[in-house]
Amino acid sequence: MNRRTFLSFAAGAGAGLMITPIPWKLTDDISIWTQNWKWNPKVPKRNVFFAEMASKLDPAGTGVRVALVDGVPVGLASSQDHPLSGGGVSALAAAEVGLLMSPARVRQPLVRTEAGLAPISWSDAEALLAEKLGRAEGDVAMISGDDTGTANEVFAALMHRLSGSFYMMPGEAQSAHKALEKLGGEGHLAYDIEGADYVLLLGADALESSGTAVRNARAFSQSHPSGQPATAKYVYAGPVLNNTAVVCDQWIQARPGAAASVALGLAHALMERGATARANGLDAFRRDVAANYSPARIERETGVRADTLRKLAAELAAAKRPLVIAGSEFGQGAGARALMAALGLNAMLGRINVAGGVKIVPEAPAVVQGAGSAASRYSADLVPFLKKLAEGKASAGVLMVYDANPAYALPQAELMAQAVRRAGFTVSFSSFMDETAELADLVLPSSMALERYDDVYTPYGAGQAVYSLNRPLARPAFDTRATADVLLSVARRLDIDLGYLAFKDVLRAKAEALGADWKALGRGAVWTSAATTELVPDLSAAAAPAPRAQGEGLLALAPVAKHNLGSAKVALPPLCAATVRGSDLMVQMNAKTARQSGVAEGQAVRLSGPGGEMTARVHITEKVMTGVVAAPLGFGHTAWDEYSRGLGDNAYKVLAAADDPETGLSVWSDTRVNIATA
Amino acid sequence: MVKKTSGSGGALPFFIGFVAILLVGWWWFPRVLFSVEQQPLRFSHLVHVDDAGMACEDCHYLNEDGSFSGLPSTESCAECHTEAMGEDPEEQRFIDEYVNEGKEVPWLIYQDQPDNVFFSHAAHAAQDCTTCHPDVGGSDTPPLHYRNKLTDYSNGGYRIVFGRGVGVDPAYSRGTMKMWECERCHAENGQSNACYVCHR
Repeated sequence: MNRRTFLSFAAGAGAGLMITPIPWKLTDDISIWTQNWKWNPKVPKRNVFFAEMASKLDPAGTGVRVALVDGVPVGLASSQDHPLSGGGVSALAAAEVGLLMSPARVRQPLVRTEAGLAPISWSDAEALLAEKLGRAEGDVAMISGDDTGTANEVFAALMHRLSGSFYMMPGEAQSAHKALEKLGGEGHLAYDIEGADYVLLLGADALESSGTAVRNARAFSQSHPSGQPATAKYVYAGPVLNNTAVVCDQWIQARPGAAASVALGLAHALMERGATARANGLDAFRRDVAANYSPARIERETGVRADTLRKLAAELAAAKRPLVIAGSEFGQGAGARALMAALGLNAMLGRINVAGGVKIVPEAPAVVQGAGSAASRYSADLVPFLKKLAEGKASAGVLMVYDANPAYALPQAELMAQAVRRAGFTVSFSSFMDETAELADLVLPSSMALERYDDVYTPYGAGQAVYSLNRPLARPAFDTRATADVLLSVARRLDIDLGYLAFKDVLRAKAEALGADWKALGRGAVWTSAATTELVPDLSAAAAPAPRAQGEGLLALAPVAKHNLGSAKVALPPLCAATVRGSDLMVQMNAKTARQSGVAEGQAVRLSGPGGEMTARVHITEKVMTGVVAAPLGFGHTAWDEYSRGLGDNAYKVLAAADDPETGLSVWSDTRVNIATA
Repeated sequence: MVKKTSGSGGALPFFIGFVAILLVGWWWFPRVLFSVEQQPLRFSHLVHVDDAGMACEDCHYLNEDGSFSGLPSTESCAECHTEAMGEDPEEQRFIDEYVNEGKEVPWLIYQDQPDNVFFSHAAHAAQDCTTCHPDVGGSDTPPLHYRNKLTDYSNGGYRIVFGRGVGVDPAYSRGTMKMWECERCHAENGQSNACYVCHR
């Protein structure tokens, strides 16, 4: 073939090519190829399967309905029938699916080496943990942040057998258990909010972050039908017009941490009207209230005007089914006093174990030998222990942390992180690479609620006894395991028999002990019981003086918890990332406070409190009472993922806990801070 | 003086090149571009429809929320097929390999649409299924599945479709539906062709 022949051949091929699909089809296909990169994960197109479960990210245990395709969760909606959701869903419960693939998830067990955290097999990790626990017997501590799970029984029983200490992360459930214990009761505090016609919320952010918030919000919604008169009155007393206060019928401005004082001031006003209570220790209670909680004094200490207090007392006395719910504005640090005082007030109103009142729900029977009662698991106070650990006054050869982030979400967060560092060997069972996991020597990632067997028994504030079972609905996204199963296995390596081979068997025993149908629970049914435990409260200690405020600052700090910003356990969920603008933390105060403090809108400031310092910018709003600065929680993460890291500062750093020897529970809901331009 | 070269190339090489590329373009290229696969099981629609008297909607139905069930899960099939109901070895294989193992059958989808398109079966329920899908309701053996190696789109055969009604069997276009096909049907039926109707 010579050159001319070749050119002729090529010309023929070129002409022919134009009437073949090659150039046109390839051009089209390449454009499609670039629009559907093959390495992007795709939702499998199979039958959609719907299953009910109870959220473990949401402390209220809200029931949700998950849509799954071939073992892959693809959607989540509210559960219409679950008694704790009633068709509503919280931002945290909605994150159960999205966080499965969070970049912050720990993908396999990790062990600390000189070069940082490195992968380790489950078998080696369990052997290492067993060796460390065996050596540190008697010097072991475990912290759990799971307020509703039977897994705590496994953990507490193991700690018991190892002569170790078991701590629960502080929160409302601990406050409730301790308050009941101090008043001579035992069980779970529950509020029949649906049946009440007058709901007084003292600090407790009951429609957003406190108790069974989704259920409470449904009850509020049903009592306030659109276009019709409300069937119940909701009153909120607190320092900030938060998501609860903003919809309530009345907002009464009260300083942070004032719930106990306001409750006892109301008891004083009711006593002036001749009210009494079916309770023991009434004389001491009357004496304390008369001496320390006169309306005039309450006005001075809390900012609630005396005439407002008396008017509230009159409304409570006139209501048919009043209910008082007290707590910390941000779900932590209220100690036991606020709930003790509120129980005393409810007792004076005759609202204990009646429709629309406070219910005392029995404990679920313990099924793991050595676990003790729920009240005993809540008895130890974590914050003083960690303080001592950080200061070298206490020791922990092995410190295990489950479902909690103490290095971030406790007062004096930097000191708490120091405590985690000072422990001999720290093990984190977190699903996510949080601040505590980053400091740990061994990270044994927990499967998330959708991937494991777990349960939810009567979250704080539920109206009745409620039990839900979760089973593994989704294929595990990573090499993770249920922590209770891991510790059952580690116990076997230590020749400790906790009576069960698998956590599923523990749950089956729990269901049987409650009288619930295991199969029905497995299909997503919820077991409920209206049974209550008799309580004649001993009010002799309910009005004892509270610890002093922490810090010498001129302003009271009001941390604000919002579920769209995460919680003490979880950072900002990716689906809520759009609710945060910019990267500066905005602290809020009213114009008068700003003027008195010498700061202006948008100004960078430094808040210094007894626990430490934080930086922020000022936003002026009349939604905050005078003399108070409000700071949202959930910011200032140094771990987690790109959605939550580097946003603002952590308000927990500023808080500091005060000891309360009489109740044995620290208090940090009343912290004073100073503000200065940064 | 320029020396005249022997031969001018002529028409023959041109014709050979022309024909060769036609063969490459129309015969070889589709065979390289598409892979051919068989369904993992020889599922007979004929047996289920004619012998068992089942309706299409018994397996392919709209969920209560309007989403489409698609292909039945192994769990649904096992409502009848926990044990073999006939003599067909394929049924026994289904029970052994999928029902007893609790696995889903990796069925090949003839009309898998890409994720950038939202398609609601509920909104198209008035149309006959075969307007878009290959008519497999009467098949005893499922048709072969042709997959475009570059795009992963499925196709009804090696035939490459440039346009409907240009001498092409419409059945061949019933693979993954292209945007112009959606748009034409929307236009013909007076429906909106705004971007957000399909791309959400």
